[in-house]
Amino acid sequence: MSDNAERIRLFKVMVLARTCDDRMAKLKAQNEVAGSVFVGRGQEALSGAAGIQLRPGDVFAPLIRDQAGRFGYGETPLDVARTVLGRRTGPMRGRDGNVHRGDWGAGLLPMISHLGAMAAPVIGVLLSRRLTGKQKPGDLSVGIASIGDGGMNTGALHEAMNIAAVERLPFILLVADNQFAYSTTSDRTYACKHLVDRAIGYGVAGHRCDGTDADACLATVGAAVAAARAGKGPQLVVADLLRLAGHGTHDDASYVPEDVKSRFGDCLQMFERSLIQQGVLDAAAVAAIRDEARRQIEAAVEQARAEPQPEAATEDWSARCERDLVHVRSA
Amino acid sequence: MKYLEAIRLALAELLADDQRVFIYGQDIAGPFGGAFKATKGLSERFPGRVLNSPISEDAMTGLAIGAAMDGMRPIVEYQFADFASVAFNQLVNHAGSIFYRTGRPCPIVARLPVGGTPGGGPFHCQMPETWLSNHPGLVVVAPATVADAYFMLKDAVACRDPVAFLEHKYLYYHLEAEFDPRVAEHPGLGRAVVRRQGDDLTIVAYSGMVHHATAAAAVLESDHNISAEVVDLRCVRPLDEETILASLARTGRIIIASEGFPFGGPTAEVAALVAEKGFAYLDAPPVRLAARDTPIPFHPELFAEHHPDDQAIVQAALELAKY
Amino acid sequence: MRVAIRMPQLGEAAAEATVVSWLVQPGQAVKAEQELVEVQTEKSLLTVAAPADGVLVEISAKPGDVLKVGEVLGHVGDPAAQAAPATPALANVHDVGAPPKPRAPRPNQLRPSGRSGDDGGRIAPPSLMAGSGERSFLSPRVRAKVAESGLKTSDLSFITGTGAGGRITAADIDRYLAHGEPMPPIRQAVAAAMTRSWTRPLATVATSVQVDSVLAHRRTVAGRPSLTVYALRALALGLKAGSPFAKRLYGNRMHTPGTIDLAVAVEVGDGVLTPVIRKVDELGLPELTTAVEDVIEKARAGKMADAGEAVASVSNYGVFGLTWATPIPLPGHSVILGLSAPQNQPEWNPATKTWDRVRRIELTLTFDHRIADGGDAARLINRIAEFISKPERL
Repeated sequence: MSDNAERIRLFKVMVLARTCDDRMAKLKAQNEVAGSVFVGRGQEALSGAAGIQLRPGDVFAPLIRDQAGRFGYGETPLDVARTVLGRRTGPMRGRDGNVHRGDWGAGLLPMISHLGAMAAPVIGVLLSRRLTGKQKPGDLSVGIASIGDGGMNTGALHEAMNIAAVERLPFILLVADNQFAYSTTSDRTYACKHLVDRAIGYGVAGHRCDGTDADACLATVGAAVAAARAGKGPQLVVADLLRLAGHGTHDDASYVPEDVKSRFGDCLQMFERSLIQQGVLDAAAVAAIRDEARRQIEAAVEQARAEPQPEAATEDWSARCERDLVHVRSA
Repeated sequence: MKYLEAIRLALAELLADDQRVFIYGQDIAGPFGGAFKATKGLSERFPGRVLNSPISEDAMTGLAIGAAMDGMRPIVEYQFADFASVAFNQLVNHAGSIFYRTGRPCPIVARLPVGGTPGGGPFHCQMPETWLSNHPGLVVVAPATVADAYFMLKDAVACRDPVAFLEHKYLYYHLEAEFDPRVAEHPGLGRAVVRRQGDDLTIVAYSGMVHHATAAAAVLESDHNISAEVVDLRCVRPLDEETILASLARTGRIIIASEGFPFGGPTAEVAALVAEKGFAYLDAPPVRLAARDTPIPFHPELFAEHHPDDQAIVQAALELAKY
Repeated sequence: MRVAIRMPQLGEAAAEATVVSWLVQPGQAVKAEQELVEVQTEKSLLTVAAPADGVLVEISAKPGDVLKVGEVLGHVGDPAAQAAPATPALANVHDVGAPPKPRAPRPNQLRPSGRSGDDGGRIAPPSLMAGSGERSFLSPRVRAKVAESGLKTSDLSFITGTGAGGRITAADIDRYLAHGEPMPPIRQAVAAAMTRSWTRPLATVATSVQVDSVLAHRRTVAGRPSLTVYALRALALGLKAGSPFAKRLYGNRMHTPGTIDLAVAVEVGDGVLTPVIRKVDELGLPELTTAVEDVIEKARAGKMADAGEAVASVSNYGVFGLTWATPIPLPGHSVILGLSAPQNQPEWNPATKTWDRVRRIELTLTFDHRIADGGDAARLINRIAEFISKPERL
């Protein structure tokens, strides 16, 4: 079992993510948000466990249910609020929204919507590190890309995973098998017995864990990250869990049958119970963590609300960084 | 020096001069050196920097994007431009959108062997500029000369935006010219140039079609006393509007020729440009010449009739001159 | 029969290859498709096969030779047969290097049709050819050239068209405009103004008035006002007294300006400037004298004190000794008042029963007939004459 400091850190990240997701969903309900809001309810343990393993110099390509992983890696609630509310001050400046946010310079890659597309760029960063001699043997910077059971079936993802294996890069593919690709059940999206079996086909190490069990996630993702850092090549981590919400706030997930619901618990509730039962935290400490999370998220929302929106009149409508190609010349 | 040798020389110099440069693509490492031999000898000279890839155009491109964002200057070789359609998503949705979305440049170079050769058929002859240039954020260039093959490749790597670099397969070995990179002058990456001066009409072309245009201009001059100006676009996205309109202002008549398919694309863009911004220069409607609106046929007889050539340009010019 | 062994198409891009070695010697029998000769491209080592059964009768390319695609490596044939003139081999379908065969003309067929997969039933575009009776067609370029060069549509009838069907080309206009030198800018401005003004129906009324009293009166006024100053003042007061010519026309709308502003014509160098003096009806003769001298001085120095809008102007063509003229009102002006040179004339004095000498000038008033009619013009000019003959009222 991981040390208690790490468990508390994960718990805090999970609470902050759940609080943040709930607040953003409420903002959407209040009609303050353009477009969709996506929440990671039920996936916080896996995502958070990955996020807190990462350190500066690593790369993380989160997907749409990775608020916990994002916070674990260092994203601030203010960046979330600014992006969701489309503020000019945010990292995407109103040009992209909701979960499509990040900072290439900080190793937090802003996703495009096409599933599977972010794995290869993570691999590219890792290859770049190798080519420039920046990697320290035995203690490599690693890259994690998130994907779900749906995205696992894209050509892009297969291509990228294969390249990672060929190049033996310190890449971890974090798969949340949350039982539904939007509304489509797993039996219509893949036919192998378990997604982790694909590790053999790719020629990479495979790991499987219960995604509702935060301790299991910490142990499994921790082992995968450690193996990648040690130079043992790509790692495929598949966690079984259930998305405890719709695809987005627009989706009531009424298509999820009761028997499926009954098979999966809420990772956050279970982790809280376990921490209290084991005496790691008491009820007052948990309440304090929740209060602190609410305070942080509310402060971020209030600040973002007060900040300016982008303006079409002052927008720099240039998709190219070289505006005048006529004068672009090699030295 | 041949067109292909100019590309190889540029690649060698880029690898030698800039540690950020690496080349990634199928079959490019030694001893094979690439389907067209553009990288022959380079993996031996620059170990670890000319890397064979799996047949995975999408991930090859995604990888290049990641490396570029991490400070590298990756060059991706697609074995045929046709197969870059597999990488469409990473090229247009990812590379093309990064600067606007994030404010950070994404300097990748996609080397795309383009253009038809007899017997190549529907999937080894295509021109990708129309679908690539429609999307914001990408630069699309198409060198037609030995000097441009060399300089524009270097300029493409110097450019901080993603660049699709269209290399014409027929020119690889068939185009040869005296060329000394130490003394040759070259215009900037986005500049169109006048390859041949003329007074009566302008022929705009790019890539391999430039050579059909200059050959047609020579016939028009010698057999028909028509003086045709040939403008080589060099860069089809963005267009050098200034040079096109300046030529039209001199001649009043314009033909835009391309090997690409007829719907949309640079020929349509130039025609729209002259209608919108060059209307008062026109003595006659702009004329577009493009390939037929079918997949590219395999059989050489059909292939030869699929795209415009010197003769088609001459014919269009004769008709246009009568207007 | 001899069949040429040709360098085949060697891949998508290779244009040539080097002969490495012959696998068969001259005189040996060969079967169709038997490997005959090894050639090396930049990409790979390939073998060229026999095009037909027979005997290798001739090797024309030796090891080390570089041949382009389509060039002849040697011949296969029947050694007993008479050497016949080589018939051109059917082009290998993979040849790229062979020159293209002549093709029948293909009118229009490669012009994008905009209709996918259909080259046959497309909508025919209007002919590019100039048809008969189209001489009047002006291309956008020619139209732009006409506008830019200041030509009028009527000028085009003087230009010979050398384009298709006698159309006027840009070059024709260039040739036409190559005559002479360009007008100085001020001349061009005057030409444009006069042309615009001349598009209106203009008419002229005239009368004469004695100026002895004015000439005597001016000695008593500070600055000794000129005849022009008296005329300006008389015109201003005449307009102010309810004349419809105090109005300006805007299309089909009439506007009465709040003040009487008049322009003065000043000859300078290549043309005429028309500076404006505001509120002339409110200026006494001395002030008006100063104002007129001021604008004339400035205009002659090339400066316009005020080039704004006015309703009328005065032209003292009399300074040239002229006795009659019909100046054109400026664009937007409703009238122009012209003054001739004073002339000595005998006038019967019934009191003394003698012929006395009097000095008279002709007043001409050219007016915009859209604004008002001859009667209004007559009333205005008579009022002006009245003022000039009784200058103490000014």
